[in-house]
Amino acid sequence: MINHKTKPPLIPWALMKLFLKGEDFREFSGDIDEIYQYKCASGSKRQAKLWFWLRVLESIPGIIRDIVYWRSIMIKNYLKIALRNFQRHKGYSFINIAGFAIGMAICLLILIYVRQEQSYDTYHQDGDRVYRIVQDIRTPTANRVFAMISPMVAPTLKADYPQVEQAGRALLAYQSRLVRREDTFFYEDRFMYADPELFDVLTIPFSQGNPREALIRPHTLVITERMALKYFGHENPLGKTLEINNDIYEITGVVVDPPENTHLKYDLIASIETLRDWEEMSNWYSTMFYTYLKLKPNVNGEGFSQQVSNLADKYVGEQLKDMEDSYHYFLQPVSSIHLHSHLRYETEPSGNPLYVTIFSFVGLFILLIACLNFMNLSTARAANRAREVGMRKVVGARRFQLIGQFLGESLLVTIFSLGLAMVLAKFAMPLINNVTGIVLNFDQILNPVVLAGLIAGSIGVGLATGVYPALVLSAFRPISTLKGNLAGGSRGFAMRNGLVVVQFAISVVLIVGTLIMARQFNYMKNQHLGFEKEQKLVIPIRGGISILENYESVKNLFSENPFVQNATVSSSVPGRSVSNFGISLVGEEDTKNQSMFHLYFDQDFIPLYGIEMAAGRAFQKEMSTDIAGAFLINEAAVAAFGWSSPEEAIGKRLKTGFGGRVNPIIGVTKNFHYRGLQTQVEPLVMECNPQLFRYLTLSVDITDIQETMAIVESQWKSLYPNNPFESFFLDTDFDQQYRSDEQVGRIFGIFTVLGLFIACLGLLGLASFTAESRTKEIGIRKVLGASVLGIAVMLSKQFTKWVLLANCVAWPVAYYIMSRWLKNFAYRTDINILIFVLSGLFVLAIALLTVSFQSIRAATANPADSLRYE
Amino acid sequence: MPMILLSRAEEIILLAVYKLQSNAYGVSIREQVNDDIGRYWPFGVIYKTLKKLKAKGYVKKIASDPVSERGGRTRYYYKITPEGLSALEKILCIHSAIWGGIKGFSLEKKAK
Repeated sequence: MINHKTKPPLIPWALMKLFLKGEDFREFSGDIDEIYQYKCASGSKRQAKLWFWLRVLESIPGIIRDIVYWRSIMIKNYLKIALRNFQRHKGYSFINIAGFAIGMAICLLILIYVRQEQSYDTYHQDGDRVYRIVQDIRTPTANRVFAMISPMVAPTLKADYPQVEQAGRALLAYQSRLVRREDTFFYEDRFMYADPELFDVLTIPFSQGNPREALIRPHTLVITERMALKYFGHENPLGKTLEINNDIYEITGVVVDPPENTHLKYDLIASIETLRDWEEMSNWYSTMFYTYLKLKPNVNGEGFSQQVSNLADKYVGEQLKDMEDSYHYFLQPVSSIHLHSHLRYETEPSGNPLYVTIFSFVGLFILLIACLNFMNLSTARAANRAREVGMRKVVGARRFQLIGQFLGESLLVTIFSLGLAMVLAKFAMPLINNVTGIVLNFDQILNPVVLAGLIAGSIGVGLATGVYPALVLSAFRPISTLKGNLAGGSRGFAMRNGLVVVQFAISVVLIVGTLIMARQFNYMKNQHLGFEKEQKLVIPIRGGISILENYESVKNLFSENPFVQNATVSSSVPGRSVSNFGISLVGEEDTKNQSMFHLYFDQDFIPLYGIEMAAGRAFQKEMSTDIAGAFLINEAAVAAFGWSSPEEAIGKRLKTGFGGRVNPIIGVTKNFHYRGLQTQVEPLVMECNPQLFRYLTLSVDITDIQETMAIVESQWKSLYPNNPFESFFLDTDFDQQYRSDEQVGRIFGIFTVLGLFIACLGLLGLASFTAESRTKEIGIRKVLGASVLGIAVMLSKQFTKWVLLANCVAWPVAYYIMSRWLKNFAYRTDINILIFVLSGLFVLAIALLTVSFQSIRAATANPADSLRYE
Repeated sequence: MPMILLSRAEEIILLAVYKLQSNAYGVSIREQVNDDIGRYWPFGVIYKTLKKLKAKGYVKKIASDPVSERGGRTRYYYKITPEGLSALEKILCIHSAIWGGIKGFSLEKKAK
C-alpha cells in the first residue's frame, strides 16, 4: 500500500501551481505525484525528490510555450471580434478613433510646445551653477529691475568674491549692423560684444578657433557657422576679415549656431576689448551689459545672491546715498530666465508661464473630451455587445477575461490613435508654425524616453477610458442578455449625461476664452494710441551712415515724392525701443533724481504723428534755440514730477542725459503710447537733438503703394548707393509687440474649434444611438399621429437641457480664467456678459444642429419599416 | 476534406493512447512512449500534445472517479475518438506511401 503522507517537494509544487490552473494542474500534479509516491515507497526518498524536481523543471518550457499558444489563439479571437466590430460600426469607430487621434495630436503639439518652453538654457554645462546677475534700482520715486547692468559688476565679482568661478559680460547691439565682405553685404541683427570669459560661463561650443584666445584683442570677431557659410561659403573664415559698420574685424573663431531655446541669441560676437576707450566701460550707473557668472561647486546660489546684493556700495555707495538711490543685485538661474524673468530690457520677449499652464490644461481637456466620447459610446452601445458577452459567459468566460477583452479593445483604439496622432501632428506642424509663428520642432518627441512615455501615456489613457465600459459590459447576466430583454441604452444614463455636460462645459470655456482674447487683441489694435499709426512708412538709418548733418535736405528730397506728404526724423518710433536716462529738476529745493525714457525728434514729428499738446508749444523750425536747447515732456512726466497741471511744467529746467544738459521745458504733450498697451504710458522726455536721429518717417499716401515705394527706393539709392534699402509700415511694426500674445490666441482658437468638433462627434454618435434605440417608440408615436417636428423636438430636448447645464458650469470657470489673463494687460477690455451668452448660444446651436441631423432622420423614417419586425 | 497531417509527437502520443485503450492517462502514456521510443518525455510535452489532439477532436478527456492510488483524487483518462482512428489510418497510408517506393533500403545496410 502506498503511503500518501509523503509530501512532494514544496518548491516544484508551487512552480506547477504558478504555471497551471484548474484541471491542468490537477492532472499534472496527480500524475506526477502518483509516480512520486510509488518511488518514495520503493526506493530512496532523496532520489524520488530529485526525480520530482527534474520532471517539473523539464516540463516548464513546454508548459510556457503551451500557455502562450493557447493565449494567442484567444487573443486572435478577441482581435478578430474587435476588428469585425470596427468594420460593422464604421461610424462609431470613426468617431472614437478620429476623436482620440485629434485629441492626441493636439496633446502632442502642446507637449512639444511645453517641452520647448521649459528647455530654454537647460543645455549649459554645469547649468545649475550658471546665473545671470540683475539689478534692482530703487529711486525715491520708482523701483525698477533691469536685466542689463553696469560693466563694472563682472570685474568686481571676480575680484571681490572668491565664490565666483568665472563671470562674463555681453553687450547686445540695439541696432542691426551692416556687415560687408567684398560685394556681399547684409544687415545682421544678432550682433553682440562679449568677454572671452563668457565662453567659460555659457556653453558656446567652438568648431574652429580657441575660445580662450578668440576675443582677447580689440576688433576680433567670433561668428556662427551660419554666418561663416553666408559670407565665406566653404572657405576657412579664420584669419579673414569682415567689415562691420565701417570697422574691420578679424575673425578668430567659429562657433556652432545657437539653438532656438536660448534667451541669448547671437550671430556675430565681437570682443569687448573693442570698446575699451568708451567712457561707459567704467560707469557704475549705466545699465547696458548682460552679466553671466558661474559659481564654484557647492556654493549656494540663493545665499550668494544675498551676499552680492550691495556689491556696488563699496565703490559708489556715497554717491548713491547722495542721489537717494540704492542698487541691489541678485542672481537668476540661467534656465529660469526665459519663463520666469520679466525684467526691463530682456534680450527677447520672455515666455509666459501662464500660457504653458493654460496650454497644458487645454491639451488635457481636449483629450478628456475624446476619452469621454469613447466611454459614452461604448457604454451606450453596450446592448450591441450584450449577446456576445452572454455567449462568452455561457461558454465559460470569466468576468476578468471579459474585462481584459474590452480593455484590450480600448487599448487597441488608443494605440492606433497614437500612431495616427503622430502622423497628424507631423503634418499639422508646418501649418501651426505658419499660422502662429511659433517654431515647433518635431524632433522634440523623437527620442526614446519621450516615445516610451507617450506609449505608456496612451496605454494609461486606454486603460482609464476602457475600465468603465469594460466593467459595465462584463457585468451583463448571460440569461437576460440571451433572452433579449436588455434595458439597453438606459444603463448608466446619468453617467452619460454627466459626461456630455463636462464635454460641453469645456467647449464653452474654450470658446469664451477665444472670444475674449480676440476682443482684447482687437481692442489693442483699435485703441486710440494718442498718435496716428496709419500710413507711416519708416526707414531706419543704420549701417554706418548718418543724417546728423543733412537731415533737412534728406527730408526735402523724400518730400519731393508726390505721394509723400511729410517727413520727420527721430531717435526711435513708437513700438521700437526708447532709451532711459537719469533726469533731475534744476533750481528747486526738493530736487529728485529719476530716470525717464527719452525720445529725440525734429519739429515735424509732432504734427506728422498727430500728437496733441496739453500745454505750451511744440518744437518750431523758426526757433533755432529749440535744437538741443529745449524739452518737451508728456503728461505722465508731469505727474511724476508732482505738478498739478501741465501749465505748471512750462519754464521749469531739467538736467538730463550724458554730460547733464540743462534745458527748459517748453511744452507738454498729451500721453501717447510710444510702447505697447501691455504697459501704462510712462514719463517721457523729448528733445530735438540731431545727434541721435536714426529713423526717417514718411507720411505717405497709400493709394498707389507700389509706385510710392518705387520712388522712395530710387531716392534712397541715389543718396546711399552702398546701403540696402529697407522700410516698414509703422502700424504693422507696432502691432508686432502683441505678436506673442496673438500667436497664443490663434493657437487657442484652433484648439477650441477642434475641441468643439470632437465633442460634437461624440454628441452625434450619442444622438444617433438614442434615435436608433428608440426606433420603435418613434414608429408607434408616428402611427398614433405625432408630427415629424414633434418627434424631432422630443429627441433634441434632452440634449438641449444638458448643454444648457454645461453653460452654467462653464461661465464662472471661464470668467475666473479670463479675468486672470486680462491682468497681463494694462489696457484691457471689459469682460462682457454678452460674450458668455453668445458662446453659450453658439454651442447650443452647434449641438442642436448635430442632434437634429439625427433626430430628423429618425422622425421622418417610415413607421412601417421600424415596426415590421415586432 | 483537407487532410490535416499530424506532427510526429502527435502521432506517437495518439498511437500510445490507442494502444493503452481504456488505461490511457498521464503516467501510463509516459511509460508507453518510453517503451516505444526508448526515452521518457517531459510531462509538459505530453500534456501539450494531448491538448492539441483534443482540440483537433482526436481524443476525449475523461475525468475518472476518485482513485485510491492518488489519495482520492481524480485521474484524467484519454480515449481515442472515431476521428482519431481515421487520422491514424490516414497516417498509416501516408507512411506506406512515402516509404513504399523505396527499394534496397533494408536492414542489411544497417547491419553493415
